[in-house]
Amino acid sequence: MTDSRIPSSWVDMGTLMAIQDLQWRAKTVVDGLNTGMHRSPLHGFSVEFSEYRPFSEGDDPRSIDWKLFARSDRYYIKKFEDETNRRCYLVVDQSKSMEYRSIAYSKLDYARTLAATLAYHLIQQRDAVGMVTFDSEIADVQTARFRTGQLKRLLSLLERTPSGDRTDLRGPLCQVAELVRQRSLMIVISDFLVSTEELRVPLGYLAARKHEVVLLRVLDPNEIEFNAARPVMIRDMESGGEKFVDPRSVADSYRRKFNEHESSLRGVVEPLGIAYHVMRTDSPLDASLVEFLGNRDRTAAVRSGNPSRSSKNETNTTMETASP
Amino acid sequence: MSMLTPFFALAALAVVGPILIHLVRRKPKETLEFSSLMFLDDSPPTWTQQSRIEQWLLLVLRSSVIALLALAFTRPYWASAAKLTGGNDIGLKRIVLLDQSASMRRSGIWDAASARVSDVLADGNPADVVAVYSFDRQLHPQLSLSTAAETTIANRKSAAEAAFRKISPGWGKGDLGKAINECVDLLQRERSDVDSGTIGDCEIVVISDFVAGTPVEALSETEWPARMSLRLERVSPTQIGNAHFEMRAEEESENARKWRVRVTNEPGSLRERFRLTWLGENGNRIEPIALECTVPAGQSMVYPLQAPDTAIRGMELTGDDCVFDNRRFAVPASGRTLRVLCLEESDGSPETTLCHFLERVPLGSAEDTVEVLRVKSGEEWGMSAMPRDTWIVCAAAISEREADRMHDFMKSGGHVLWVLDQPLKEAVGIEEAVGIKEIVGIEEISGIEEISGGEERGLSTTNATKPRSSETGSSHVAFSQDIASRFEKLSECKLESLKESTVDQYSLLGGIDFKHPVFAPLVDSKFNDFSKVRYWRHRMLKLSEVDGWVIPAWFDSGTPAFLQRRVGDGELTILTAGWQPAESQFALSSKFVPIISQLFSLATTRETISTDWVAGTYDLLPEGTSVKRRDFSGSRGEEVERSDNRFVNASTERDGGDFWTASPGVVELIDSEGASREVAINMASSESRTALMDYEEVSRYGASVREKPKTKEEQVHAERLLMATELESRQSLWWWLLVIVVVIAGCESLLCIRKQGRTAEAVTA
Repeated sequence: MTDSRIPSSWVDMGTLMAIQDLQWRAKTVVDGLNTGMHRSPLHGFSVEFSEYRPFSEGDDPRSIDWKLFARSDRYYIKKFEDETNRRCYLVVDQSKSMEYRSIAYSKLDYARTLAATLAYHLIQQRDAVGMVTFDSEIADVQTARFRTGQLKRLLSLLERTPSGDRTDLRGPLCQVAELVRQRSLMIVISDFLVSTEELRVPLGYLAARKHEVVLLRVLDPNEIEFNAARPVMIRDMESGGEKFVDPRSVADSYRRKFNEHESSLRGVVEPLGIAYHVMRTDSPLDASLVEFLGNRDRTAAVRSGNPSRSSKNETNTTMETASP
Repeated sequence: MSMLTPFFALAALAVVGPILIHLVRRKPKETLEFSSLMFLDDSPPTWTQQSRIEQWLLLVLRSSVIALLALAFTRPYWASAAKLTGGNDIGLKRIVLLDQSASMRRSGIWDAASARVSDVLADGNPADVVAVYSFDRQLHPQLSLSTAAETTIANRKSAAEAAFRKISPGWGKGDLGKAINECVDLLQRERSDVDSGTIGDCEIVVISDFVAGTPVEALSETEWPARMSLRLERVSPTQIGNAHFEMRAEEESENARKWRVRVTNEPGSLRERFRLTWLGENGNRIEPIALECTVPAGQSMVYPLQAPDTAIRGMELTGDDCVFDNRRFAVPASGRTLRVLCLEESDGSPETTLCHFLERVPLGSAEDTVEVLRVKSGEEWGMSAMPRDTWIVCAAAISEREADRMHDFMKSGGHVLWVLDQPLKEAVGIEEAVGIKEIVGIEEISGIEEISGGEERGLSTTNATKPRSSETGSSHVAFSQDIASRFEKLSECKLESLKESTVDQYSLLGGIDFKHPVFAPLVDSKFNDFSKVRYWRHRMLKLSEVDGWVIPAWFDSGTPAFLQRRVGDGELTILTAGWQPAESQFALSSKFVPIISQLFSLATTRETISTDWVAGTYDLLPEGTSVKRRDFSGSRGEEVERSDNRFVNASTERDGGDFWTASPGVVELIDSEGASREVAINMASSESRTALMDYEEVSRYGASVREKPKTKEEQVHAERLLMATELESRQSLWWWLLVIVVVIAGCESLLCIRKQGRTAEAVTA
């Protein structure tokens, strides 16, 4: 997974995970990102005026432009671009399989940090951020909003103890598709250790609703490489089922199957135009983020036919791309 | 190193077990949690590569434990010390036991037997000691073991053949079990006489037709010794089927006798139709045919027949394959009447008398009628005309005159049973007695007249004069002086003392000599429990001299309960307690009938001669009786055996009184007084049961049966095996191997514990 394009990390992952406060952790990553770039990835993302429209009954009186009322003695509503379009939902898998770790911290720790970082980052950009956590079914839902205290609410959802005897992505994603009717950026953070066929339908739903879907697959390095020193009895963290495994005989088969699954998953997401990125828990979070954003930017430039665009403002562009 | 049981070495293959266990990857105890099993295949425990065996030391220890155990079970020994002989020097002791019972008379069977004897003699080692015995009811040595052992090796075979040529089939009944038992005893005795270091195996070779009628039950009496084998060589006749019959007179009418005949056709017989013809006085057939019958194989039929008017002496069956048992002889029964004279007081209730119980003992038999005569004391009972086949049973109270008569009776050969069935009382002096007589006003008092020399019986007294027993209230009391004087008269012996017992509750018989003919039938453990026979009282009798007395039973106090003594030609038997319930439980016990029957048969045996004898047995004849065989053949096709008085003497092998009933036929017995009677001698019917016996019956009793003779190689092998066993038992290497196994197992355990400790430490760390 090492790639020369991956920027070097500003933050030591061990140190980062040692930070108990999730918000502080997210802030550390985002600050690191800002410090390391010549231009802030968030810069230029501002509230842009869209239009005025006459006040009608039922509109929020707080959005009345009082200055214009003073001038014209009429009630107008001032509309901005971001208020109408920017929404992001972080769909975080909190099943038990996410608790697996072969290094100092688990996939779930990593996923939480990732979700917190993205939430922090998006809120800093004044985006409306919502969150859905799930295991075998949806556990908590926080509607995407931009308001004070939203970040804290989101972070509190991430603190939930994982439960559930299986990972079911189909049900929760279908529910999310039904819940979120406005076009949004859907960032699904999971290990996706389910049958790819299960994902085909819910992802199709999301794509059909014009959401931009991004799958961030969090994997432990051992899940990818499967290294064990000696025969061992392996217990499924979710179902509790056991298998005797001699790594000498099954390692190759494991890797082959894992790769097949990976290819199959890509085969599902690519036709739907869904972004997919694997994040190893042993790679620095910020580096992974930058790499992911870089990939997204290149993909978006290819789509829009303007590759030079990516070099100007990577993150900003990415997030703009996320806006429909 | 050699091994006694090398097959156990195969157990060393079990070494593969630990190796496999070391090679196989055991199911791990630790469990690892993983996010998903979806990419994992189940991999069962697999063999590791040889290079992966980790615990070499443990593997070596475990394998060596198994290998040494297997080695110990092979019973190893160092063969270098063994000096094995070739086997030719040690011959085995072999008894060739030839059946000469009547069934061996069947056609072709004796030729087959002689051929088999030749084979047996040819098969063996020349150094074998071969003895030849034949058997029917008894074992007959033809060439005894000791004689055979003394014969030089070169002559042994010819000596055995010569001994066999002397044997011919007889008419007796074969008892295979008894014969084998006796042979086993002979070989055992021979073994114990010879140094056990050089004696080889023993073998009994039985050459017989092994018919179903041959009894083998006697084998159960012998525990089969080690290194002794039994070889059964069956010889078969040329024709297998056989029919036989038995006849018995049913009842007698005025002109003719009715008989019942049971015709049996043996299993496997091919013929079913048979004819029965009466035999006349001279053995000739009486036409017409008495019966023509059809009996299927394996079945028996009973037919009633009426004898012709002429005198008959038997019957002949024709139509079957074997003729040896086709004639059976019968003579008209000459029933005797035997008498038992019971002499006692008969007043009082019947249960207090001896005779009451005596009359209920079934003393009669098919031939003899027994009549119990009850004679009151004092009655005249025709002593002068008393025949000798009378048995006198008398109570304690007898007069002097009766004592004299009984003494004379015994002198002439009669038997007397004297039962002291009344409690004794010390007699008073004469003056005292006279005084009593005056006081009570009676003329006769028991004992007083005897003491004063009265001629008439004195014990016949009225109830008023009888002293009563405090216990029963109805018994007579005899004066000890009377009894003592009668005792001396009857037994011609002095009596030291005689007194009534002082028993608190009861006494038992303290000792019984079961070798005595009276008690011999009760020797079996099922019958020899006399503890239920309680004696409430008895007389304590002390003899001044014991010579001439036989005391087969005595009380627990040591005083005799049962005494016997020869008096003249007869015998006196004394019981010192009565059998009435007032005296004891003897009459009510199960021992009463057999003992009284035995006493009676012993008392009348000299005269009891059955009219139907079994061929091949000894029958006791009264002294002076001469035997004359009827002038016709015992069986068709056999030589007629002329009979005269010399025949008896010539055939007698034991006492002068025994008569060897060599072959079937009719003999005439003429007693010393000139009276003659006829006796039919028939073959034992069991010999006619020619269905084959299963060898299993013999081996069931523990005999080590072999079906094939031991070859020379087998003998050598057996000797080598014996030697090896001896060496192995002396060296006992297996024991040391077991010790080593225990030590290694201990080391292995310690090593395991140590390794486990280390592992635990590592885990903890």
